[in-house]
Amino acid sequence: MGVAKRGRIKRLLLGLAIFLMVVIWAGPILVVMISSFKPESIIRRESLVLIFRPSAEHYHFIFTKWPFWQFLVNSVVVSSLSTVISVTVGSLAAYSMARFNTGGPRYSFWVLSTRMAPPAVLVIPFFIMFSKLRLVNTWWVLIFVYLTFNLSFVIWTMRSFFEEIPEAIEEAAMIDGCTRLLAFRHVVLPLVSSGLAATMMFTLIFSWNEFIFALVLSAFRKTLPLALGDFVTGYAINWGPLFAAGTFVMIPAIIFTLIMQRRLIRGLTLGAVV
Amino acid sequence: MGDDLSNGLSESLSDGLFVIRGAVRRSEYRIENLVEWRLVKMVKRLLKVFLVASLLLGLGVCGLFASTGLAATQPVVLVIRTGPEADGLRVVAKEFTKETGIPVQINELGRQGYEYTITTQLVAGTDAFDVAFYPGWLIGEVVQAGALEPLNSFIAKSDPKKFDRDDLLVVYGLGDKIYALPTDVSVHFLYYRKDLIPDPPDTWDEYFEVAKKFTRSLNPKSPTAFGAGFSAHAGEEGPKIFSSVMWSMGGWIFDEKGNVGIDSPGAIAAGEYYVKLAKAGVISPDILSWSYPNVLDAMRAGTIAMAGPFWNAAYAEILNSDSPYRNSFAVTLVPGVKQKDGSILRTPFWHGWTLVMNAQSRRKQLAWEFLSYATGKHGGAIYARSGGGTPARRSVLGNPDLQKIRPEFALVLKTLDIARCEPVMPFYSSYSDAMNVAISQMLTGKAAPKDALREAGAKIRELLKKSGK
Amino acid sequence: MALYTILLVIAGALLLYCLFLTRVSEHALPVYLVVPATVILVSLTIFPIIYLVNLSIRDVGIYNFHSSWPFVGLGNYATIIRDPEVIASFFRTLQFLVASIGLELVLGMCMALILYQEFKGRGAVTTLLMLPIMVSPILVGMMWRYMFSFNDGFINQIFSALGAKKLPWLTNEPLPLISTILGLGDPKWAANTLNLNYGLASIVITDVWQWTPFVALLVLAGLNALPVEPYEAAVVDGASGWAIFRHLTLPLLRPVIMVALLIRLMDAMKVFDTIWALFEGAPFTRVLNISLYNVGITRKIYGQGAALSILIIILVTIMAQLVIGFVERLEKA
Repeated sequence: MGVAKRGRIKRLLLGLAIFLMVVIWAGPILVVMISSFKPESIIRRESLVLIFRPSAEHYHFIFTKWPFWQFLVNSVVVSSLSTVISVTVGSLAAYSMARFNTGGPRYSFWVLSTRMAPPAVLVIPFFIMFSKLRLVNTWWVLIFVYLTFNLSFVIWTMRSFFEEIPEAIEEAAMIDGCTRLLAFRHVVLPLVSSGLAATMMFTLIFSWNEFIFALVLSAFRKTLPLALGDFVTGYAINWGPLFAAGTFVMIPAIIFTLIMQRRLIRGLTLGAVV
Repeated sequence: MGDDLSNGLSESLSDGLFVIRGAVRRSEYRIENLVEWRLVKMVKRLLKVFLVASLLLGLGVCGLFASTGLAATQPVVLVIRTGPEADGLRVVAKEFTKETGIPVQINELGRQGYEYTITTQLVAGTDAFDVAFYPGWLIGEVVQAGALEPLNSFIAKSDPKKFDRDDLLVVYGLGDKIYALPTDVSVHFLYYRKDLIPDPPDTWDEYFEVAKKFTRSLNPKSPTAFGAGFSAHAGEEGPKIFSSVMWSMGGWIFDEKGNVGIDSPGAIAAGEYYVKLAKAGVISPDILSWSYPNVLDAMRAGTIAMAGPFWNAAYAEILNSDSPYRNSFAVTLVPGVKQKDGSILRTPFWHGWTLVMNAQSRRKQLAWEFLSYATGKHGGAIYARSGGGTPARRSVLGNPDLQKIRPEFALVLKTLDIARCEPVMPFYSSYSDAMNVAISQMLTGKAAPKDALREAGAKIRELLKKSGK
Repeated sequence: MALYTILLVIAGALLLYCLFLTRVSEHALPVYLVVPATVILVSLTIFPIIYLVNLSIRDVGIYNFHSSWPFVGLGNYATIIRDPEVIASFFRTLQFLVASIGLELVLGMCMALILYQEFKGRGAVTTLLMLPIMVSPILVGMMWRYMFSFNDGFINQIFSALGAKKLPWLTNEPLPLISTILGLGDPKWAANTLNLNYGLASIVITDVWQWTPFVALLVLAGLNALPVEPYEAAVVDGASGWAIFRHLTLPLLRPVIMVALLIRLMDAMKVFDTIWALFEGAPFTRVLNISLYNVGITRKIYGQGAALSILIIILVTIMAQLVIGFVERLEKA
């Protein structure tokens, strides 16, 4: 067998593998997006229907007959406010930990360990505590509770970004008469701003996607992922509107992946750990 | 947590992350001056705008809520699960507002865990709703948390002729306190394809024989894939469907004296009957994931020849669907067991969905107006006309005009005469869970019916003992 | 009005904090900066856990929620660890962890090796493959519920279009072949007791679908960071492609794989949303988190739920210890 032929077979196999991977991993997402345009009459057909006349009826349904905008507002308010708080509070702590090694490894590990427990174990105490405080079904409860996973995430990611900034830059600014805080604000923060933006987008997405806390603590101030359950009715699963709303739930995640792909690892290694 | 753990984690993490971060940083800086960098900047700017906007929006909406809080005419908030009941009650609410001028806001929730969500919310002391669509069988549970408003004083004040308690099929309460009025009643029917089955089965044995005839794996000429179908999904329905079979075979859940009958010979016979159906393949192998929608879909798709015991609500849905089989289904009483004297003991299941008043409601009088209207004769008639709902009033069910639009009402009344319901219990969800586990174990063959039901029986005895103390 | 009181207190504290931020001495600044984060984290994690411990030694449920909660010692723990459903869900969780993480590591490695090759459109393909990672897990669950649905599901539609038999996804049916291969005898028994059924397979497939790209991303980064010199030496020595991978790439990648394992392990322990969306808590698919929800929220026996929560926290801690010890031993060897 010639080298050229072997190379060709190798390329063919590689091409096949790549094709299969794309079909398996991007396929289901595509199926959801395409199915959201399928007319109701063919969506629960038993046989495979690939060619059909696209219809916007499901989108029309979720916009006019379903309080989509209300859920969207809930989702946006909760995830953005939780992001703002966690990024502000977290950056301060991260800066202190990166620059002064505050608390040492024990403190930083403790911060990390707060993310280790499955959220399900916190559901019962949160439910009882917040119902005694009469905070159930408010934005505030979700904003606050989402800090459990957002804050430690921000601290760990931002710490690594701050550690990359040489201290000499700040010291130069301080010699010029800046205080530490002014140097932080005007010298360090602009330098880490792209990292900060990436971190913010991560926390936005994490809060955007959250389900179990919203399920227990905010059943009447539903966020979008929770509201998807509306289409699983007692009588049928309405796949059409579910996919239409699901597409909107996916859009931020997809845009985010497109923009952030190079930074995905860094966020996820510190984010998903624990 | 110890030092060694933290150090260990930090070390192993930093080792791995060092490698990764090196790679990432290199690739980041390599492409920094390319498109991505500009994108990041754009996103940063967008994010700023977005965050400021959402903050303002948040404050604005807060303000809006605050100002509406002061407004005089607040609507009565009704929470209900999505489906035909919601469609029906929406029409009732519209009529009610037209007649009384009291606005009603309807808040719909999905089915997934609906009753648990409402219970949890009631326990948490929410004031997010005034009236809730609530399962009658869970009243005993939620009453303990003091979350429901007793309706006695409202009933006492209302016109007895207008309210007519005797016309209601049931009222739910504990002791002498009434907590819930029924708005929708459900019974079990047997659905069968009248084009295939001229004589519907009268006993469970006949049911099995007919099912075998219409199962393709046993009879290749069968037009349907499976002879029968019902809900066995672990959730609300599984134990209820099982009860319809179990009662007729002589089993029971528990009686007033606290004798548990879930592992009695009759109940075990019902379990063995389930296993017989599954082993013969006359029900779909994924029967454990079948709940109402799956059975309904199977009927509409022509997959099954019979569905039963199955809910009366499906009748209207099947008729109004675009299925080619929509006119092929007929309903009759659920099968039973032939007794020594030749009669057939049929024990269809029935239960009611109710309207309850939240004890935390701030508009109790208005809430009562709506509650009594919706469960009343007039409201019930509107409800029956406008959707697939089945109002819990004898006068409405027996109304000949309505029976013309809703032909199954006559059968509902006939079924109700012989139907049984579950005993009121303050631990319903634990009971339901125990039964679901047992049904799942029997149908999968994990445990023999005897053992599975004995385990469930032990759990129920434990619960009874606990609630008795 | 508790809400407004709390908001007012928080706003006041924030104001005071900002007021003093510029006046704090250089010396106290580091500690001052971590104070808000620490306060929030303590109130969100340490405090609930203490509360949880308190609940777990009391008899609390919907039946006495608004009255007093009698002390029962370790009674709740005793009930929980004897509950056959909880024990079954514990073993199911372990199986889920082993199966899904094992598959994710192997498939992720393959994916990374393919993406490491030079080919046209590599960037685009990589991006497409990464899409599942950030999609909301609840939506992923719903999506796969549709894909797996028996009659109108996408996978079975494809199967029947290709003339193959529809597969009973999402059910308790035994997986074909597996019990014969493993010599376990009765497949029904294996499906029930050992969870070798389509239900668990569906859960594993869903998890693998979402998280394999993430493992691939990590391994790919590791591959990109590999030093060039040992490879040049190996090529000079005439080593085969497989030998290079086995004796050079794999050992060099070990730290990265360990990080992936650790992250996935901790993350997979949190699984709830996808399984909830797929099965709504059907008994034969319950993992520990679902069991916990069932006891604590569905059945509303809060005391027992709290006891189970504490046990899960202990389990997670032990698992973290074990994995880290394992990683350390590898490093030393």
